Amino acid sequence: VAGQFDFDEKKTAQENIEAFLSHIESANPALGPFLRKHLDKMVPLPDATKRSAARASFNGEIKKVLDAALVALKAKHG
Amino acid sequence: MVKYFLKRLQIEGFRGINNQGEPLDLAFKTDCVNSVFAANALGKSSTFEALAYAINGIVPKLERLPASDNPGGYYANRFHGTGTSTVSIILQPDDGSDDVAITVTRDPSGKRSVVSTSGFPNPEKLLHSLNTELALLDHELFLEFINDTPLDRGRTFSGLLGLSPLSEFRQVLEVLSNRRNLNTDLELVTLASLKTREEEDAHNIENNLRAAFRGFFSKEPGPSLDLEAIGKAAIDALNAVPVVAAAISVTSFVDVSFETIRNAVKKAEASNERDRLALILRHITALENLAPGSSEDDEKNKLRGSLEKRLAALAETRGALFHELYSVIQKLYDQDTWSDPLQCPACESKLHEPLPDQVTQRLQQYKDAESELKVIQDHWRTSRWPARLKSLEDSEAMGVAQTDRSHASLAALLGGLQPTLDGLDGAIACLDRLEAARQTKRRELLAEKEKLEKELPPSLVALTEQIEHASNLQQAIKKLRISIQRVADLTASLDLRSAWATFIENVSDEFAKAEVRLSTSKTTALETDYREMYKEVTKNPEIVPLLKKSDTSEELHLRLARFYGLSDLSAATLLPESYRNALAICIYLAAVLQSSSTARFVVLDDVTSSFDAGHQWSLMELIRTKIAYPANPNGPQVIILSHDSLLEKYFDTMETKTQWHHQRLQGLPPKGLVYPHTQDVNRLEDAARQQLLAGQTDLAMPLIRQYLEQKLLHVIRKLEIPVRLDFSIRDDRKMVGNCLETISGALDLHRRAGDLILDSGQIHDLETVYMPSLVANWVSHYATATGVSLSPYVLLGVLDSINKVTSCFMYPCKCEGSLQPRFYKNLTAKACGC
Repeated sequence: VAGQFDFDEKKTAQENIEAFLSHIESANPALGPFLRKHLDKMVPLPDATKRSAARASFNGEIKKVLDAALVALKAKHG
Repeated sequence: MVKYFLKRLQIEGFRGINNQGEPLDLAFKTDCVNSVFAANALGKSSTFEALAYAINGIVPKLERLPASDNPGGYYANRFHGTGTSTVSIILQPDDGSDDVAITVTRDPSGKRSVVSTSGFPNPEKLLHSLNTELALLDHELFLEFINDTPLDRGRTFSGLLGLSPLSEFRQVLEVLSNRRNLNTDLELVTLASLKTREEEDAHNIENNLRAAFRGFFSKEPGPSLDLEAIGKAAIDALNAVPVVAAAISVTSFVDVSFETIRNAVKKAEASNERDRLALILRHITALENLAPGSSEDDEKNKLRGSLEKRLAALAETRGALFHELYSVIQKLYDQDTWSDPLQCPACESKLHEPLPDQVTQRLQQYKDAESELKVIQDHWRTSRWPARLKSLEDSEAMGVAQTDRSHASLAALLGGLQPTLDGLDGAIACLDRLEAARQTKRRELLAEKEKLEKELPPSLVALTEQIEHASNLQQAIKKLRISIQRVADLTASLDLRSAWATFIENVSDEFAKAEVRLSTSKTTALETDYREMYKEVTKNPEIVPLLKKSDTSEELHLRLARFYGLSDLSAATLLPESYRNALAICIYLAAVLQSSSTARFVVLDDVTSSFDAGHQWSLMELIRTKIAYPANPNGPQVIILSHDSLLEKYFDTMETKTQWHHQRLQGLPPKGLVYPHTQDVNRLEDAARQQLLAGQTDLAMPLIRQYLEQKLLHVIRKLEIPVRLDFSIRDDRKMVGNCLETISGALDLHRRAGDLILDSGQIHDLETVYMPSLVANWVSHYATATGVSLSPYVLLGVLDSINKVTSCFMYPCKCEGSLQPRFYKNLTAKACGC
């Protein structure tokens, strides 16, 4: 992730989170969008008893997405 | 952004307030400080909770009750006929637009509904926008703030600064970037182990290929293997032998059928011994390829080590049933079904240690055992020796009968959920037996090969060996290609998943740093405010508080920048309770002033209960003059709920309604009505007169004492009459005497000095009529506690004397147009030029 990101004191917290995600997507277009796409599994932060399952579900989706990207890459380049 | 004042609150059928058909109706003013006083059990807390319910949809205290106590059954007033709770509020926008009226009801089934009787389009959304940690503040909140851990305090404080969503998002990223979780969820360690194993396999296959190359071509292969070129050279060499060439119908070496070649040679030579030699050569190669690797002992030791660690971790636990029990207990606390950490939710006995901590520790033991199981499973899956065991059992050369094969059962045991040391020992013994058999078999085959080679013609032996070398070369090329591809796939997968792990770690780190910078900046921005407020409330310049934000985490430390000449010390440790509470209040109020919430009001419930009279007074003055709107044009409307009678005395001192709007709750809750009584400047006098006219002398006397005290103190304050150092503001029976003595002394001093501003009539009336009357009829009786019963008429006269004493310190002023009585500025001058 390149460049220092700073929150804007004039923005609301939600606006700042949105700005941060855009910054991440712009700095890392390959991986950044996956974070936003699957965030709904972790936000709002589940309580302690459900957190591990939510995290595993999020990372499971990421694993699927990365594996699919590899398959597509292989199909394209052999 | 439009913000909203709280203009009116009506409550019916909620908590301690019944008021069926006649809601408790509290009107609040936006241009002055509001206070609501209620003696104990008169509905003050219910009023606060009703507002909390209207805005937040819950009453936190009820939601913390165990589910078995049916918290939902305690929202409605138990004596209300319909069981429906109704809370209506009127919000006044600060941009001058129309008021917004919202009614929140909770029916007997617990269903909440929100409607705007003024037609506001989305009242629920508006209520939600008011829901900040700064609109409703109570004593408990301040206590928690002081006593929290630095991390919890930091997270609470983020909420005060409007940064809760950032704090929550930071926690989300911390969970997602936890390296241990990433290793487990993305199988990073497993992939790395598989890749290492595959690379080792590729290396072994390459060695086999080189051996087959040497056997076939009778020369060393080059340092780098060109599989295409080797294949082409091999098929050319095979085609050079006529009997073999006749059996080859393909152009690619890897497609050559050696079975066809063997059959062709067999047909040409018609020899069973040659066939046997070919088979022996294949088996010898296969057995040599199944020799143990150099890392086998290390792999076995690692698996044994993990097994021992897991067994030790399991020994610390108490078994599956207790695991279930601990999980349920943790759930009770997480979901707030049970909240008391020092009481067992099962038997309700008191505990010495917090139960959630004990349960977390116990559950961690199960987690440790669980994570070690995963390590064992990975070891079994990625180690080469279990795979060699299977290959030995499956090998045609070994000839192990199906019934004697153990790999499947060992895999179920050591790769399953209950691996044991006995199972590991059994697997190692099995492998040892197979290894011994492999070596014996190889020796026997080598001996038989030697014998056959002597019996068969040398040309046939050479051809047979060449064909088998070529067959081995072909197998090695095929396997090496597959192995190289698998290494490449594993590397790509591992690289990509590791890239994600690094990415999410960097994202989390960057977010955390940005959040710390913002939070630190906002915390620092409050510093001047809370320090000044704290100084004003405590009147102690020797103590300077400091909120210290951690550079690397969400932790927030309460420190003292200065403490009687010392520096950087712990506030929670050194400050007495009242000072700690004062600090929390000042920090919250500073945050309120910086708040960007849509709530333009703050309700303070019982926030001064740990304060003595002096600190209460200071805090109220701070709120009135520095915090609250309109004294602070950008400040919030402040509404104070209190049951402290000392505070009510403060409210009595407010001379006009434009500074303070005070109401007192009266009635008979929870069954009867609760209603507000608005306090005006004549509240005490009116109440005393009513009691006297009803002949209730005993009830009137305390009111007269309060009224007299209030008026005399008012004169002293307005005319800035100096008092002795030991002049007490405490509520004791000598206060009236002290006041009269102080006023008389000051009058005498200025009269002797010749600069007394009072006219001669006023001086005469004071010294010869009113003051003696008060002393004779009041001080000498009630105030000295002689217990003499006074008639109502005498006491009515006392009330008159009180008012006349006050008027003796006033002069007619024309500044407002008509003549109005106005207090002298002091005992030597008027307040204006009239």
